[in-house]
Amino acid sequence: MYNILVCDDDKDIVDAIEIYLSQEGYHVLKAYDGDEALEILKQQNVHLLILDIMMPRLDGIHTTIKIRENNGIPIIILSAKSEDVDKILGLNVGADDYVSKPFNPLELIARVKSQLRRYTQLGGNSVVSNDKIYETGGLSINDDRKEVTVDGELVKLTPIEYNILLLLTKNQGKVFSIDQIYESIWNEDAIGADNTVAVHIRHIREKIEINPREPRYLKVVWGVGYKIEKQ
Amino acid sequence: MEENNKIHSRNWNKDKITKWSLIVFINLLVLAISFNVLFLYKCPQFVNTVTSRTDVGRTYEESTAFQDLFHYAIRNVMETIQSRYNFETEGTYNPNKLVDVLEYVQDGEILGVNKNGLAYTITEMNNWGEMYSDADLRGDTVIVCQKPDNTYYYYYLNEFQEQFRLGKFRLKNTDLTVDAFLGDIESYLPTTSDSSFSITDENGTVLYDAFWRFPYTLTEKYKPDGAENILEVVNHIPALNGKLTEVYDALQQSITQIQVELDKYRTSDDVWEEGNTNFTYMLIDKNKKYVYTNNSAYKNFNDAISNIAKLKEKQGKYLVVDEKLSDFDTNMKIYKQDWRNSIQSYYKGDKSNFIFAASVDTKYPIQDIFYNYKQDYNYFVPRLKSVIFSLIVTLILFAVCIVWLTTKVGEKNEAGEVILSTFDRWKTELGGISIFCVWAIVYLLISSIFGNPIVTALRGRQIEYVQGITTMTTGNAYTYNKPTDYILTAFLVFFTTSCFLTGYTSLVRRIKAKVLWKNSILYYICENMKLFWKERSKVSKACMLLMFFIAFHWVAWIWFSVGSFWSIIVLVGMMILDFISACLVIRDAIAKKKIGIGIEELVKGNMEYQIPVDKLKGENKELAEKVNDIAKGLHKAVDHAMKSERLKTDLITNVSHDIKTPLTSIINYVDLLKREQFENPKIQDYLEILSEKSMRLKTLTEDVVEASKVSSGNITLEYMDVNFVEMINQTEGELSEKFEQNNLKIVQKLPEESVMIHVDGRRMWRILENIYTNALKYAMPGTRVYSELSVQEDKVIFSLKNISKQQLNFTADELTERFIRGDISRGSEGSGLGLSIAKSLTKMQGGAFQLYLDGDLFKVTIEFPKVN
Repeated sequence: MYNILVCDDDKDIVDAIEIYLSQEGYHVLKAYDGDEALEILKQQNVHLLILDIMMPRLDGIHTTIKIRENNGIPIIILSAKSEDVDKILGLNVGADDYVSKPFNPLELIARVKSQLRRYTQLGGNSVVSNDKIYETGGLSINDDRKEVTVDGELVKLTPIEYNILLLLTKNQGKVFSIDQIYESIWNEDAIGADNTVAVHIRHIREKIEINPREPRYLKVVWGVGYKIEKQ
Repeated sequence: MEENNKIHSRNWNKDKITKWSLIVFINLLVLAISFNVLFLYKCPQFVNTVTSRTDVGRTYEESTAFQDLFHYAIRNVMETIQSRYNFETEGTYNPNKLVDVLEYVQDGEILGVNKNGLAYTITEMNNWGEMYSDADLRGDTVIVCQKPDNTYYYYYLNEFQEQFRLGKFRLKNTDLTVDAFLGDIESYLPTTSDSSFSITDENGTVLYDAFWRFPYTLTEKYKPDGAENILEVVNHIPALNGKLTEVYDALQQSITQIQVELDKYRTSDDVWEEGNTNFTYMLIDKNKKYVYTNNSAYKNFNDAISNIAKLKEKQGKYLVVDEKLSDFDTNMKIYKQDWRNSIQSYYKGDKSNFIFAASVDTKYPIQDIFYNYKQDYNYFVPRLKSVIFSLIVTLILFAVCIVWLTTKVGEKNEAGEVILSTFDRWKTELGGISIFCVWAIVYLLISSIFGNPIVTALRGRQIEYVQGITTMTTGNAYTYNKPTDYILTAFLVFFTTSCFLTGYTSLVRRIKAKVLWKNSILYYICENMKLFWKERSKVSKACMLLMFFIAFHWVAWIWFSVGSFWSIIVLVGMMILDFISACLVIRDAIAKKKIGIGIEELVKGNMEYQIPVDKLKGENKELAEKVNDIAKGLHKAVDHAMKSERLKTDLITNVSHDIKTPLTSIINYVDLLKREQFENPKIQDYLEILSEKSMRLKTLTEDVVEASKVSSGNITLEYMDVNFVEMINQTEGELSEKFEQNNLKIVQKLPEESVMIHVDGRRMWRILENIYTNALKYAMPGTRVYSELSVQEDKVIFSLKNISKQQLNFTADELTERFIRGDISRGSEGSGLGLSIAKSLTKMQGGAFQLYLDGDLFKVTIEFPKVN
């Protein structure tokens, strides 16, 4: 049973989120501004915080900064501010994820789950294994078992998709062009390569990313190629 | 208030009284100054008894005034002796005494003997001199002929010509005929040595190597002693050969000198004769054994030495000059060296052969000039100190009073303005001239009735000033002023002072009222000329300046070619004018350049640039200021537009935030409702519509924000080199399934190699996404969508073509206008901003975006410069 603190000045949104999270079996604590959230954090054992930015009294950004002084719990910012600058600011002050309003409830729940897994299983990575394991963030590829897990959940990939993901994960941070991927996976010359690779990439993204349009792992470098972000 | 006025008027009256008292006082002061000055003017020779340190407190006999007079008497006497010696033989005037010209010029002596060859009688020379001063006495041309032995022979021109006519002379080394040569001899013969001609006799023997003209001769009025003419003398006396210039110069000098000397000799009076003066002198000529003296007792040469001793024994001042300075003996306080030198210089003969002695009897038994001088001295000197003192005091008082008056003049009325009299309102120059005229008329009137008052005032001058060796006219001395002279002088001084004060007070009032310049005729003229000049157009101004410039140069050029002293000044003026005009032209060019730069900057779009106007002048300055104003106006307008655009974006962003919060609740609760199980299937349908529309509202808000940001340029771009082919493949990969769902087939026509462009990758994706999404939404299902990328020299062109499912009843422009969409009549997903955003983003990155509509064919083309 995880305690999730939801903090937003709009009571209806808090209530709606409570319904969703309750259905998933989480216990929800509610706060309507930053001060209240800090108060609850002091008194209760909270495992995750969903935080709005624009709130009266203490806003989300300052609340995050204060929490990060002595607390490492996962924080998901949920804000109507959807500009790049806002996201960058939120993540920089210590938030773990950023979801803009209006949000897809399923996406929010997925992100909550993901954050909780990473937070609670942090110690699990210490299990020593002889298997060949490549990982970045919550993404982990066990090349011996040919298994891919995201935040501990098994993901099913086709062999080509697996090979592409393996290639990119092995070379984290390196950008591969469509031609390069094609040549190393199909072992053929990529003359007049079409969008085949691009389609596979999208399929992979749909399977490993919570929101494929805003990928966390498999990123598009437009006009250059694709890469797995080193985390 | 009334009290105030009373005080004011009392003060005012007080001021007036002070002012008038001052004016009267100044008049009196000037009167005092005038009489003091007049006093000083009448005895300048005594002033240094007060001012000079060495002279203060001396008695008359010790004063420099006495010494000057003494010196003067000596000089006068010695000159008289000299002229008597020159003009007299045996004590009587001898008009037929011979003057040896060269000796006379050299020593100033006339001995009556012709030593050097050229001599005339005194009468002849004097007459000649009188003629010489009356008229130009340039004589006949003389021809100088140089013999082979380098001696000379001189001919008068007619003699010379005669020799040719007689055939005794022949020209050598020339083709000239004798007639032609003689006919124009002046133009052929130079005045300096010229050996191009030589003269032979009839046998061809060379007589003269060279000959030339000598034009500096005198008309010979008299024959020299023992000869027919000067040339005869010069030709026959070897010592004078080759000295023609000296001879003529000496002659010319002696005839002018003898005239002056003779005049002096004749007019010398008997002032220094025995019985007429207290002055006694002895000039002992050791050579001639003769004593010149005005005392009959001292005439014997043999007793001369004892007589000098007797002279010294007399009561009075004396002085003895002998050959050596040690022999100089006097009982006066004088500089012996100076006196000895000057006295010896008055003696024309041998300096070692004379003794001079002189004395003045200070008992003054005879009332001569020394006596009168003493009377004056005793009258003036004791008063001099007080006169000078009073002069200084009155001058200081005068200055103080003038300053005081200056502060009092120019009362102000209640309004604080200086009260001006009618006269003060006259034009400044007119006022000045009228005062002068009034003064001049009165002055002339007095002059014509009583005689010139200044002359009258000065005519009482006691003694003509004797300054050492200057001449003294004794005839005019000893006139005294009459009492009427003083009255006249006083009146004139008073009148002049009044005129001056009238003018001065008016001047002060004008200055205080600040109308001196403004109320002048000159100001009026200047202002009118300024106005006239201002009204001229630029062209006529330039023409007038140029005309003045050219005219000045022409005048200067003509003047200069005439050649005179003034031509240098004109030349300098011309150079200054040229320099000024060069400066003006350069300055104008610089100004034009500055304005040009300003306009260029403006054209480039730099509206913040301001032309520096500090150093510009006149029309250029106006022009520059106008350009600056335009720039400022434009800058303001653009700035305003930018600001309002930014405000709009901010507004839209804020509104969209405010919309998003309730929208979140709507979407969430609709979603929750959908999870509930409703009996009525219609409810599910309704919820589906709500869900769909709320989602559309979401995209709409996001797109509106983005569109406004893009159109206001409120985003930053991160440029990088991007492979366009890869980009298209990635885009199609992202969207392929949606196209398949809509039963659309993408047909690619891409180059095999990479095509690089320089853009912001993420924005480029947004452009392509919008274009493809547009095709996805509006293409007829079951048709093909063609994507094509072609490279043309330096351009990369991408196009996407599809067949529209709706009839396209609008223009291409309308499509990219915001909120205008292909299906205006029917609602569907999307905000209608996609193409608008794509177009703005393309332009922002330096590309071109075009739509092409032909029937049902819909084609989007974007163009970017190629990167190599």
